Amino acid sequence: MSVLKGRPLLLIEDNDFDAGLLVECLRSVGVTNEIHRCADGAAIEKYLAQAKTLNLSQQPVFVFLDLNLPGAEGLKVLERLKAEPSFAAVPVVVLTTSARPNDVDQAYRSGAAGFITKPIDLDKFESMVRQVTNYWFSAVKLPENVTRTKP
Amino acid sequence: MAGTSEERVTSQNVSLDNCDREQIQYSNAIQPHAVLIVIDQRTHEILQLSANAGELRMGSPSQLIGRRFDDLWATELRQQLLDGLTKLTDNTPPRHLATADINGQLRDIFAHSMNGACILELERQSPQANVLQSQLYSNLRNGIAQLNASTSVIEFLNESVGIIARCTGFERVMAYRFQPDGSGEVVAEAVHEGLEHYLGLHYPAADIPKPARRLFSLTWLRHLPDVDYQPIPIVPNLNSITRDTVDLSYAFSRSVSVMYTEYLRNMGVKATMVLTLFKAGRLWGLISCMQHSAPRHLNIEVRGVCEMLAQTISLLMSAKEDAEFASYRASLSHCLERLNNELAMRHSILEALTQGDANILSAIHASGAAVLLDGEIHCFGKTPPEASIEKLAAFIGGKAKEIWSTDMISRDFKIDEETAAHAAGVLAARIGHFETDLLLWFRPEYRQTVDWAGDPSKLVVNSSGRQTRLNPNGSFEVWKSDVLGRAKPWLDSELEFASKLGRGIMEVVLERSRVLTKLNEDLSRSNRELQEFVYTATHDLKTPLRGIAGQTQLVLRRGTERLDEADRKLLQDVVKLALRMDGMIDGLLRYSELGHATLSPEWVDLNEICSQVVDLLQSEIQGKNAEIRIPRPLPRIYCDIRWVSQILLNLVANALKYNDKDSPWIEVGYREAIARSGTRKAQPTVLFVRDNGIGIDKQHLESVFRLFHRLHASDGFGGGAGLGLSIVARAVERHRGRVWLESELGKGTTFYFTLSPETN
Repeated sequence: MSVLKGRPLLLIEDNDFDAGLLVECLRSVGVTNEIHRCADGAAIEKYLAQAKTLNLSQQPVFVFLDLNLPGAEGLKVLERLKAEPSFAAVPVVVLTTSARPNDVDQAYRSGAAGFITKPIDLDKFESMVRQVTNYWFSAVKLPENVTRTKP
Repeated sequence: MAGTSEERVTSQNVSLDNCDREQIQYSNAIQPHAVLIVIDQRTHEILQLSANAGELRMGSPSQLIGRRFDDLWATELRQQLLDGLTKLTDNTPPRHLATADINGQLRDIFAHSMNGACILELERQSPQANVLQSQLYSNLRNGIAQLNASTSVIEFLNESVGIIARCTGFERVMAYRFQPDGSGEVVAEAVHEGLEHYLGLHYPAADIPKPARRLFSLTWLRHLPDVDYQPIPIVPNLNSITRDTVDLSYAFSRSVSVMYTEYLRNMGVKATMVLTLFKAGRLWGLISCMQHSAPRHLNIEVRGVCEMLAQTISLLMSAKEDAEFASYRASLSHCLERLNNELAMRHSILEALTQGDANILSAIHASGAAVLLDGEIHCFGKTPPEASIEKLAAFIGGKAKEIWSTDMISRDFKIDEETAAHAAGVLAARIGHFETDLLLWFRPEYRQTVDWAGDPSKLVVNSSGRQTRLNPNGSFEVWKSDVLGRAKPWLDSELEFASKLGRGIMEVVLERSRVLTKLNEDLSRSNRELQEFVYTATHDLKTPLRGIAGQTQLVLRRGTERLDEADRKLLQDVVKLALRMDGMIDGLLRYSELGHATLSPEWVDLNEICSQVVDLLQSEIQGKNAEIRIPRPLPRIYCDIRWVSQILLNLVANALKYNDKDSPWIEVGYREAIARSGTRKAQPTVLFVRDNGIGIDKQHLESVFRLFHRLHASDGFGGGAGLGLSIVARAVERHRGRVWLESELGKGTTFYFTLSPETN
């Protein structure tokens, strides 16, 4: 499926393997959108700066955010993202290797749209991706973010 | 003075009930050893005379009344007297005007003025006391030196009565001190051998009625040379100036109350002299002299010396008493300082207060003390029983004051008799966070500390059919009942001591709890940091594992054609191992969480938890075709919901795993708490998870809860990290409960656990 007129997805993940795996799984369930990737805090800053100058069709419509990022606390990045006007309405689904109860609560409070623990087992991982895409890219409508505040 | 609506209480109608109001100064009679003349201060007209004026051999009273006083005397004497009369001021004791031979009788002439009249007393000189004259001044000199040298008030008073005994020759001289409530105590005594001792005797306030006290405070000395005297009336009755009976307040020859003479007669006393002791202008006490063998009349020299002694003793005694007070204050202060030092140095507050030479009972005058702190009671010396102390503490604590005191506990608080006697006086100081953290001091009933050496049976008792209460023993009995339930009142310096000590202890307590709070905070922080570390380490350990598992799985997928069965199996094992390791890391994380996380207990419905667990394990249950039995509804338990879920999950999962039967079942149930006899609290509910699985060999029962411990081969029964039971054990431990098991190899196992401590 092509989500929302082919607008890109943003993946914030430091682990190359995990990133590659996620992309592959998305492709294998039929997601054809462009997938942007940021691997660390610095990359995020650069991306956000540059995103302001892009036109709407290039703005990400969905974000996968790994909480266990080096050098930048995942929750802080979430807050940072959500503070950005262009991402205020964009769903951010948080991924993590192990779920601290406190993190789960805090993530939702900070504006996460979902919280997923990454299974280590490949088959289970694939099944998780399928469930996510079934829900987010098929069952629900994603925001179009047509109005945005002036940069 | 005149015209009160009540009937005036005089010697005619006085009794024990109204002697408090007896107007002794209006007795209108004198003792026979003097002649009394009342003259108009201006005109010197003779207004009234004592009926024995005939002794002067100047005429009968009726002949003398109306004459001018001046006319009675020879020139020289007259001049002396008139000079003296002009110097009189109202409301002062009599002045000695002259000593003269009046028609064959040597007399000392005294005068004082009052209300426009002059009252003259012409006292017969006694032949008796001259014997003492020669020694008088040397006795006096030595005596005063001794007084100065004495180191305590009691020693001082002993010296005092001794001097007076030597100067006057009286058989008994007592020093008598008034208490704030008006009662008196014989604190020193010089008494001839063979006579009964009155030292230690207490007299109720009523024994010296107010009128008597008033008169005592007007003059330094009163003398009653013969207890069995016949009172001489004053004629005429009324004074023509005041239209009233003459006020004899200052007249030394005044007739005394019959209550007094009866009392003296009951004691077998024939003559007395009483000196007043003043302190700061107030009546402090008396020096009371008594003669048992015969009447005794002291002449004015001796009386003058005694008056001087009374004044000297009063002055010096004030200083001594103040010094004694100061000395007590100082010793309390010193004790306080040392106790504060101990509190700073020692760890245990209780030890600091009780172990050293300076302790809570070493300086303050109390018979017992109790320390109530941290829910414990420690008693020292004579104290009421602990149960009473608890009730008392609750009462005092309710007042929420820094210090509280009473000298009569039965008035303030309903308490049993024994306590009221041993702890009539209570002084309390707050020493901790709780209102009932107190330092208590106790004082017994006053009468318990009093020693009267006297033997009541040896006292002379007048059995005239009238009141036999008028004797020392009667007085003592009355006094005893007056002070029933009372203790010596607490001094200001003692209250101050208690207050300061209480504050000192509270400071230490607060400082320690500050330290404790800080330690707790440090510990919490350290725990949090540790837990942070564990999370980070967990993540760091898991990441490569994901790679290992994931990539190997990818190889397996992609290489279906290229790999043979053997290679395939090897790669699959790699994945399995990686997965197992991931599971172990998760288990460790959970185990660690259990150590650091705070328990949040609440009332949990175990039935709900059970059904959640069953849901979670649905696939395993169906896979094994197992039956979950819950024969009766589970109770609500006060516990942490996350951990109890974990416990049940792990136990049920284990039960499912380690079962080889065709129809496996797992039962979840509970046993009621059995209250053991003699315990106040019920024992905790025992929960259990029972199965018909493979069972555990006896020799292994001990070790099942050990971390990572597995009893079976790594692959057997579906693998498993070996953490499940360790987590159960730790979770139970955090609740201060207990977990144990019963098992029979091949038949099944039951795991029991509790979630709260058992009471012993």
